[in-house]
Amino acid sequence: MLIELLEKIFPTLNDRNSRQEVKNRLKLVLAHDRSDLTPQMIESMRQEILAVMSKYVDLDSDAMDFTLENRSRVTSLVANLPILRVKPEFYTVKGEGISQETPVEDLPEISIDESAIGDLQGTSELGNENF
Amino acid sequence: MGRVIVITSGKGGVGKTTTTANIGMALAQRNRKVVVVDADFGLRNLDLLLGLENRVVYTAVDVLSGQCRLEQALVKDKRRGNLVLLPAAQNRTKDSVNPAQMRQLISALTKVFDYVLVDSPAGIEMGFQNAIAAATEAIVVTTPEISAVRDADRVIGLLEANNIKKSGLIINRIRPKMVAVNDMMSVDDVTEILAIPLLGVVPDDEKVIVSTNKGEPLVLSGTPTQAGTAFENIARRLDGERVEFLDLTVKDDFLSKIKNFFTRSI
Repeated sequence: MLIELLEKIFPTLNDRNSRQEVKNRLKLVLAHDRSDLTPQMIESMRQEILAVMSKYVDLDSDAMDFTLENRSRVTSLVANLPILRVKPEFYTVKGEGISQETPVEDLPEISIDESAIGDLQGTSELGNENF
Repeated sequence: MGRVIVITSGKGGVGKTTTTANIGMALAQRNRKVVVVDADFGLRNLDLLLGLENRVVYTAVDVLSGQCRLEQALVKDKRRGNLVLLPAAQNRTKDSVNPAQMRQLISALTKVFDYVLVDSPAGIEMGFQNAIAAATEAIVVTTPEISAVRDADRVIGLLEANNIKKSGLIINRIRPKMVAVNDMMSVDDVTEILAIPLLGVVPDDEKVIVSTNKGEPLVLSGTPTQAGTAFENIARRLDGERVEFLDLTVKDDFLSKIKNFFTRSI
């Protein structure tokens, strides 16, 4: 009798969540029902999208997400694809082509005059007077 | 020209026929001329819920085959003369009628009646197709349970595909106590998911069973009931009135207040 009273006062967490659980299940099931996309179609789309992405970036295949969502009767395909790195052929940091190097003969002549070190002309970038 | 409204759900047993009978009677009480059409060929029940089962002589099938005139098949309710029933055949199946024939029947009815309410069978096959054939509006009935909502969603999609643009949702058999402890979806939960306008909310009420036992729609009862009032409000909204939704929240007693206090803090 006391246990029943206690159970009434402290309902278990399971009961509390069944309303949220049914909403989540329904939203997922309806997103699929409404989209009229067969599981095969979704899987093909997923493979092809990954193939396109993989031309440009390396993806973290364990952490990726590919789901259907539905809001106000419009279905969206939502993909979360964590990018590990851009594929090396697309690096833009080193300019045109990293493998191309200017031949030594074409480089300009650069020399250094040790005694002239420290003779500044004008002010430095920071705007201080000559030191 | 009367309004043709189909009452449908997808799922069986959620309250389409009860809703049709009660809304039909409520509209008749507002002095509208109403015909309720039972489109559940082979498993008719609208006659039972209205208590008119002993007065069914001819059915829609007889009219279509020329065995009788339409007026002979219509059963007038003795309690409210402006409510009339067109019964379905019990000894046939849903394939005995096709959509073109339904359109023919209903277009004849719209010339005389303000409201033509078509009680659809469960499912999405020929029976459903027949029921929606002549309709320009729909009432989708669901309960706040996962299967009913899923089926209602499918039906809503089919209605849109069949060019029935005006749909209203009725959430039937809601239990406010269960909603309050998060054991049942709320009205907002269901309307958010189905995303069509809400027409009415009817609470679970044992008196509905008593009313079907007697063949007396709840709206006829002398003493007001929550479910009966809900159906009357739906009829008023169909007529264009703006009616507030009933406050179905549980009245808290002391023990519930203590329980709510503890559950909130967990």
